[in-house]
Amino acid sequence: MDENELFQRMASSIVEGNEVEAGSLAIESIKMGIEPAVAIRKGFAVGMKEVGDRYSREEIFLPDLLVAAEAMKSGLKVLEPEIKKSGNALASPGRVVIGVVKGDIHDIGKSLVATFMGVRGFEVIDLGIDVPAERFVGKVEELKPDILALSSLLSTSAVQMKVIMEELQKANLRGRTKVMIGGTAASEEYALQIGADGYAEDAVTAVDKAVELVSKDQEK
Amino acid sequence: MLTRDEIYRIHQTALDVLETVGVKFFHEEGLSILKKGGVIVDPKSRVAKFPEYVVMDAVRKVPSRFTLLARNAKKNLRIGVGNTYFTNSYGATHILDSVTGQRRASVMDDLNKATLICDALDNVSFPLIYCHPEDVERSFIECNEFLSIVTNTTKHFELTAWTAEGVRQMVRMAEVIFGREELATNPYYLNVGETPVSPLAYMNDAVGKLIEGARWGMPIDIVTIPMAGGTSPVTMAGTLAQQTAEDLAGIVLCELVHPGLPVFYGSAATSMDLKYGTIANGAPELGILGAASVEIGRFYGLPTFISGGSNDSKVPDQQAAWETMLSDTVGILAHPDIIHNSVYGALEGDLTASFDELILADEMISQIIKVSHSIEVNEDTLAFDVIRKVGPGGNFLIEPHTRKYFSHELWLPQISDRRPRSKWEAAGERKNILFRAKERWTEILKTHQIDPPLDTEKVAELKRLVKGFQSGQVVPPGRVENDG
Repeated sequence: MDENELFQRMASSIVEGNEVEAGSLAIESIKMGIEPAVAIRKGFAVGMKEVGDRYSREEIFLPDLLVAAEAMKSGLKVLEPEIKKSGNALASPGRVVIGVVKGDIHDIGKSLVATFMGVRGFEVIDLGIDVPAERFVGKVEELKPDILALSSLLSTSAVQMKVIMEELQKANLRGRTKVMIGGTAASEEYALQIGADGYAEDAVTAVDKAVELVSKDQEK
Repeated sequence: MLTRDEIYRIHQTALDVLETVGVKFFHEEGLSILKKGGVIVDPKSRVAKFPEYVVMDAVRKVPSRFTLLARNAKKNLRIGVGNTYFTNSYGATHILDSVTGQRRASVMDDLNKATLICDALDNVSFPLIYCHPEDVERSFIECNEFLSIVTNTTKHFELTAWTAEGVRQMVRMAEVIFGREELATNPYYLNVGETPVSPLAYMNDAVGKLIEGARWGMPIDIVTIPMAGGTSPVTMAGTLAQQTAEDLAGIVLCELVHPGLPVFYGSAATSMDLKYGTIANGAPELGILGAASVEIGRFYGLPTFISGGSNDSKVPDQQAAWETMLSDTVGILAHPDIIHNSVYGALEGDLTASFDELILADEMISQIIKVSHSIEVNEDTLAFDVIRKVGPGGNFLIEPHTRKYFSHELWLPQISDRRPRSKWEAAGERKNILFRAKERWTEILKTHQIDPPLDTEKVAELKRLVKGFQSGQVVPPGRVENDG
């Protein structure tokens, strides 16, 4: 198998959502002495882009997208330590702290966003569900993320988003970290109202929004 | 939908789920009540596992017949005697503005008007909070919404509170309306609606509300909302099994707090749209799962509360109409006790309200009710004498038999169009059904008054209470334990 064939097979393993194949192809690429970053760029990422495009064209469904993401993760799990070993780091668009606000445990939307952000190269710290404001603020202080992403489905807990914004303000943490909100209880208007930097309606646009927010920040 | 054997297998699977997987309760007191009642609780994971006998004990305690009371006794709802009752849609955050036609955030004035329209519509058996007023501070939304409901309808009140504190505030307000003693004796003037989070979890606020409501002796409807493929198995059978476990877990808690409390087996189960990861409100699955839920509820002898009528369309168009019509029809033909959201009045899965849509849905429901009635067969309705009298070649228009029966036997349109083309063409704006819908609700708002009106002193007292809740000066106490 030559390099090009390997890259092609790596891409297909993602498109087909074949976790096992992606893992073994990653090992294969190391054996062949291919630079891990190159293997990701020319192999796995090509497949992931293909899947993302198909999803955007509404040709495939979320479960298809998710198995592709799982395959991607399985490949990255092998290659990332290799990159670190060589003293380099994978170029990441940024660091994201994400969670469902206190009083809500609706997990799906947040987890989809976390998965797709991870696959896009963001470093994602998922705080889980029912997360109190103090914890978000503490993590922002500690990790200085580029993005804080808050999710809520229940109208009852959406008010937490406002509380978090106020706490961040008080703690003087609004400079570096952009805040995004999402979930049924959130809206563009609500984002404006509470002073959040962005709102996204679904997991795929959330990733685009995050990239936009981060690059806007870098332009400054 | 299901055979008796199939229902039994769903039941057995639900018991397996309850016994071996368990249900998570994010509420310490709730967990300790369950533990005392024989449920096996892991305090660390907060997962409660339910032995079969505990579940079936609770199921047996739920009454199959009771009456939900209304301020106007003519609007009382007799549950468990074969009637099906309807509500409007719940909880929109936006509305298609009737004047501008633009979508905007809903406000208190919209809720007041909608509740008054629902009071006037005979097919709305009791109104739910039609839209959340976005001009009211969220922390005070519960008591303000309740004020809007009680001043604009004399039908039954459902406490769509968000928290136990909200329940207490509403009870305090209801005491003003009905009198403290009357409400203590007859708590069925109010019922509490609550929803677990699928899969298999009850939030802190939800459990707090259930316990508070149960202590006051108010009937409770537990409405599970699993989304097949997302928050429950993609298969209908798996979704029904999981939902049944969720419902039964809530019923156990309620019966432990207040044995004999009426609790509905409820479902608003539908599928998840697997392209967008959003709830598919207008899916045929809503109707299928609703009808199946009625059959499962009946298997347990429990009162049933299902959902129908919702749609995913963004505008009052053909899609909105057929989706509302389909799930309502399928649901009602299973004869649930209550089918909520059925007089839909909203779009986009409850996110966007539309008064026009409310009138359209009222028209649809009136047709579906007609379809759900059986054909009356007796000597007089068989009409042999009339057929003999008219004989071959005559007509029945002039017969007294026709006049006697037509308004009962035939469905009569309110806004649907059956005019001859020439008349229709001459009708100008009235050609458009949305225009006719608007005419109808405009007329209702102009002329309709609640009957009987609420005493002005009581209204003033309710407003004082709401102010008191908002300023923190009035904090109504909870119902003490062991009162039920």
